[in-house]
Amino acid sequence: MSPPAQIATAVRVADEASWGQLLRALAQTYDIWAPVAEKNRVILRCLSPDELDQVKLDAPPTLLPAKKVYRAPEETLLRFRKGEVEPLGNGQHPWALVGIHPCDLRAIQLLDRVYTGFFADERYSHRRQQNFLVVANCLQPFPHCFCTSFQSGPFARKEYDLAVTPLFGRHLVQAGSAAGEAFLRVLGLPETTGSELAELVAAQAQAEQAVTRKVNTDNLPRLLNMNVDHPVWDQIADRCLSCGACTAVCPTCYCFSVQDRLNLDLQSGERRMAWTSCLIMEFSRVALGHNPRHERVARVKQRLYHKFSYFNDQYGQFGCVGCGRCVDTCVAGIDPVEVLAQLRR
Amino acid sequence: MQESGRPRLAVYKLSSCAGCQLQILNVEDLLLDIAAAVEIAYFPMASRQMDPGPYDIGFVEGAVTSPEEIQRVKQARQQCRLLVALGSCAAFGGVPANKNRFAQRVVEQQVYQHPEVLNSVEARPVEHYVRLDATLRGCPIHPEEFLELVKGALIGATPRLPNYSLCLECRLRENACLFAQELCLGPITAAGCGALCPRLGRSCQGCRGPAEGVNLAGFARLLQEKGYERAIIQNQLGKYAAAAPGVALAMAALRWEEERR
Repeated sequence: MSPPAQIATAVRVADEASWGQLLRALAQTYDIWAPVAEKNRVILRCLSPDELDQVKLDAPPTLLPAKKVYRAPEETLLRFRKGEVEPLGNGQHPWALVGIHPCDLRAIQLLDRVYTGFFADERYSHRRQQNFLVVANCLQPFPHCFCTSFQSGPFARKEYDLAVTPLFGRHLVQAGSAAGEAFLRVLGLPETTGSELAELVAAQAQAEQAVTRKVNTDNLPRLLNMNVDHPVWDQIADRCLSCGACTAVCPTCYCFSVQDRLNLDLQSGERRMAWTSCLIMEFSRVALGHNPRHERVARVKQRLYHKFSYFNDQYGQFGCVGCGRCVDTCVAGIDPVEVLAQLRR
Repeated sequence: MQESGRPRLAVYKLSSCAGCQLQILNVEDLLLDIAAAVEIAYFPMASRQMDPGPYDIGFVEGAVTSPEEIQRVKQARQQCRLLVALGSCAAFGGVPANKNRFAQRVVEQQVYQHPEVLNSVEARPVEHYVRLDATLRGCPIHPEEFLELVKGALIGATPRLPNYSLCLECRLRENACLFAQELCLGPITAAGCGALCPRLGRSCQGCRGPAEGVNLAGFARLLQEKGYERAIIQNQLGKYAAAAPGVALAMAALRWEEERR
C-alpha cells in the first residue's frame, strides 16, 4: 500500500486578485506554460504576460502532456558541416509549468527516472532544472481518469513547488519546496489560521472517492507475465489500428528516434530527434528488415507490458499514471483498465 | 551517369493530372540547387529538351490505363537505374482506379460520346507491371519527400519516408480530433503531409494511401460499427488507394461478415 498523502500543512489563501498577482510575479522570472482552451481543444503552451488570465486550472487533460516541453515532438539536436559539428544550446529559459494535473506531475517524476538515471540526458536535465512546477489539484475526475490506482492523484503529494486547489472561489496555495516557500514569502501571502486545511483534507477525500475507475495493481506484473497468451490480447489486436495515437498522448511514453538530414549540398545537415511509437512497424525493425514485432498483437502487448510490467522491473514503479489520455484518444475504444480487468476474470 | 558526374533524372507521365510533377517545380527556391545536383534529362513539363536514356532516377506519375502506357512503363523500367512512383496514382492507382469497380464499357459509355475510339484497360499502379525502388505518396506528393528521395539517391542511402499512421503525426501537432464527427482516414493513412487537412479542420481523405502495418480490416469494421454504410466505406477507402495492398481484402472481409450475419 502507498503511504498516506503528505499534504503541506501551511496553507495560504489567494483571492482572484492575489492569484493574478502570483501569476504576474511568476511571469517576471519564468516563461509561463499552462493549459489553455482554444480552437475546441485544451493545449499546453507558453503564454505571453498579457495572456495570464487564460490559465485554466480545471481544464480537462491537455492534448499533449508536459513531456512536450522537456522534449519537443521533433527537435534539432545539432547541425553539421563537412565533419564540423555545431551543437545547439539547450534552448530553454527558466520556465514555470502552471496548472498541470497531479497525474502529469507524477509522469514527470517517472520521466526523470528514465532521462536522468543511468543514461542522463543533458537537454532534458537542463530543462528540468530550469523548471518551477505549479500543480493544480483536481476536485472532479474526468471521464477516463483512474489516477487513484497509481497514487498519482487527484491531489499531488510531493515534488512540486506550489500546489493550488481552487476551492469555494478561492485559491488555496501550498508550498512543496524551498523555492515555492520562498516565492510565497516574497509575495507576502500570509499563512491562514482558519479552517482551510481541514477543508482541503475533506476535498481531497471527496475527490479520491469520485474516481471510480480502478486498476487492481496487486501482483500486476506477475499477472501479466503469466498471461502472455491470454485471449484478450488477440481481441484488442483485432481492434487496434496501429495508429500510435495512444503513445503520442501518453505522459510517460518516452521513446524517440534520431535521424540525420542532409541538405542538398550533401555536405551539411542536421540531426533531429522525434517521438516515435512502439505500435508502428518501423519501431522494432532491425537491419536487413527483420521485425520481431511484425504481428500487431506483439506491438499491442509491448505497450501495455511496458507500462505495467517492464517499467516496474526497471524502476520499481508502474509506468502509468492513470491520466486516461490513451482512452480519450483511442478511436477504437481500447481501454487498459478494461483490458487489465479481463486478465483477472 | 554522364560525364557531368551528376545523376540523370527523368519524369514520365501516364494517366494523371500532372499535379505531382507540378509539385516538383513548386520548390522554387530550391530548383536551382536541384538542377545543380542532378541533370534533368527528361522532364517534358519542365523542358522541351528531352535527352534519351538511360537515366539514373526515373519518376513515374500516373496510373497505367492503356496498352501504350503498359509499354511506356516497361520501357521506363529498362531506362532507369532507380524507378520511383510519383504520387498516389502511380503508387496505388489513385483516383483513376475508381473506375475498376465498374465494367470498362459501362464507364466509357458514361463519360465519352464515342467510346469506340478509346483503347483503355483497368487502371493499375505501376508496380502491377514493373518493380519499383521507392514510392512517393500523396495527391499530390509532398515536395520535401521528393527532395529527401533525390538526396538519398545522391548519397546511395535509403531515404527515410514516413510510413506510419497520420493519426500519430496529427496528435503530435495537437489538432483537435475529427474522428467522432467525420469519416476521417487518419488512423490508417500514411503520415508525411504534416496533417494538412485536419490542421484546417477537414478530415483526412486518405490521399497518401494506407500506412504499413495498420489494421485496415479493423478500421472498416469500426466504421461500420459507427454506422457508416459499406458503400460509403468502400468509396472512402478506395478514393485514392483502391489498389493499395489490403484495401480490397478489408472490404471483402466486411462483406463476408455482413453476409454471415
